[in-house]
Amino acid sequence: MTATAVGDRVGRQTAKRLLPLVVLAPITFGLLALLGESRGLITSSTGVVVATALSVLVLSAATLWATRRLDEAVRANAEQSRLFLAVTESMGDGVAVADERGHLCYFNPAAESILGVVASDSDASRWAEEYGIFAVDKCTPIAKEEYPLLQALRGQHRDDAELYILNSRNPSGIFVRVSARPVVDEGGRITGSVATFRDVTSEKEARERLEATNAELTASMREVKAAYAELESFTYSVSHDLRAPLRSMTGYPAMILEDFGDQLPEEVKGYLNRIVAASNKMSGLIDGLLVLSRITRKERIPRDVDLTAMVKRALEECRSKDPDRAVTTTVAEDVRVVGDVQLLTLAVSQLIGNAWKFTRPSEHPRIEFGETQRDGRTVHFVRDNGAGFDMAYAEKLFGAFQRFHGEREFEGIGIGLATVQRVIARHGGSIWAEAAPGKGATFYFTLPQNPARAELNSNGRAASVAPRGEE
Amino acid sequence: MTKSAGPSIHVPHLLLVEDNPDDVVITRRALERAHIGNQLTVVEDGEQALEVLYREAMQGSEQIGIVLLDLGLPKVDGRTVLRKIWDDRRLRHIPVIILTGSDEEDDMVRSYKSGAVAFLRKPVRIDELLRAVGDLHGYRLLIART
Repeated sequence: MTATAVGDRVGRQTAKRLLPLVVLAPITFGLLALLGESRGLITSSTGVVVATALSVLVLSAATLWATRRLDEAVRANAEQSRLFLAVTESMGDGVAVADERGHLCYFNPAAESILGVVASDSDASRWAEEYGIFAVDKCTPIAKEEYPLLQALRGQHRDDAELYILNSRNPSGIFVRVSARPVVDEGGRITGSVATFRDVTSEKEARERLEATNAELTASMREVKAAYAELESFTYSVSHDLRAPLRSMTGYPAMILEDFGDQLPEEVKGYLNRIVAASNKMSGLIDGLLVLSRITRKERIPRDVDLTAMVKRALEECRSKDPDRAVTTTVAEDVRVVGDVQLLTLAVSQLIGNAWKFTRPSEHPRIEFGETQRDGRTVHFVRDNGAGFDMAYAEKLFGAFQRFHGEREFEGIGIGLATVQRVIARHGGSIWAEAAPGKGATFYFTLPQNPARAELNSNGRAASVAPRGEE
Repeated sequence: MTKSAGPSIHVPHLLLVEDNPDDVVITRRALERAHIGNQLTVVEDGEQALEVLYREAMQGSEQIGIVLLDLGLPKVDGRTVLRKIWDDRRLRHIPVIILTGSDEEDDMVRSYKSGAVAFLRKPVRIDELLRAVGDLHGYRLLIART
């Protein structure tokens, strides 16, 4: 069925309808002449001609009017057919139409392309063979009453039924999703059915992949949670069970020294003091471990943080503990970030404390805190002119219990930068350092910016805060 | 820790709930050196602690004035003991001082929420203990009203 075929038929039908008039004209003429002569109704031949012409004219007009109405209807019908064809032939979904008997009578191009065959006038019992249609288990042929197209023929509406197609066109098999509706005439009689379907193989495969990935993720999440719970209990046992024997190890030597100190040789007292010192050190290490684990466990409460004030407080603390030292400090004003106050306080006092500690041998110790731009990011830094370190060891810098200097030189258990790194990481930022032995170190770190301020910075204003407030 | 000076405030009879024998020795010694060690009952777990307290409550005697409670204990743990004391009208007036190896903030917050009057870390420091005991006067007044 094509549009031109429909047009041809309309022309032919009009000609056919006018044909009786051509035959009718001489007969009417003859009849009127005969009647007129025998009954004396129309005497003159002119009268007969006029009457004939009139009746032919009236009849022709009536016929033509009726024909035009019919033409219009037919044209509208053809228009709809063309529209239907344009729609079905351009759509990506396959369309299959079955006639009253349940035989396929139309496939749109998409259907032909999906199925790889043209519609053939065959009974559904042969469809598995002809089209290679199976259930989604890929092997069970579909029972006749379960084809959506045939279910629609019985008046049912089917939506999103899934079928599997395996034929020469689809040698590796495809999944199609089918919806079907009955075609009903004016009298409510089902005259056929229409099914639309699409290839959902990639969609289905993607979904399966997604489900598999999800399952994997869920499994890993469970593992992570289990590991996390293990870490929690480990931390708890470190906190409680390891500390208990340590209390004995520090407590008893202290008691011996207190109660029997005057009876003991100095050498023994020295050894006892070493036991106490070692136990205290171990206690410090345990505390360090706990601090690290707490940073990971602590709930982060982000808010606007005045980093400048935080740095100044940390410097003040160092100064009060170590009032004899003269350290030149430079702190950039009005540096604000978004973060957890407790965690950031920990990180800042650690960085400043380190700078304070490692500038001890410097002749003119300087500590500087500032803000700068790097690759479009706002970067904060703490710079000192202290002992520094060899960049060859830079990657070990943020590991727990890593020390670059002897304990006699600088005290500490090597947990500070690991702490700082975890705090920064928990805020989604990064930290790195630039240093040289004897020339000091600069620690750069990024932290989430207040959106309003970040915009201000990217506009170039206040981009690089010149250090102010020289003390 | 002072060797000679006795307590300037009255310390009532203490019930020490502690499972670690070394910690018992260290605590007892610290109390003795502060001349308050003679008023000390020691039990090893939460169950025994509750037994002592319930017996007292039934007999109507008010010998135990303060409970020094460890958190990690065998059988019934310290948190449960603390809650049971707080939930029992007969025992609520007995102040509980937590004496633990933990410095977890969570432990501290939960202890105070469950009615502990002080949270001290082991090994016990007598000055901290005495300060906590000294603060109890206000606590008693508060409890007397509830």
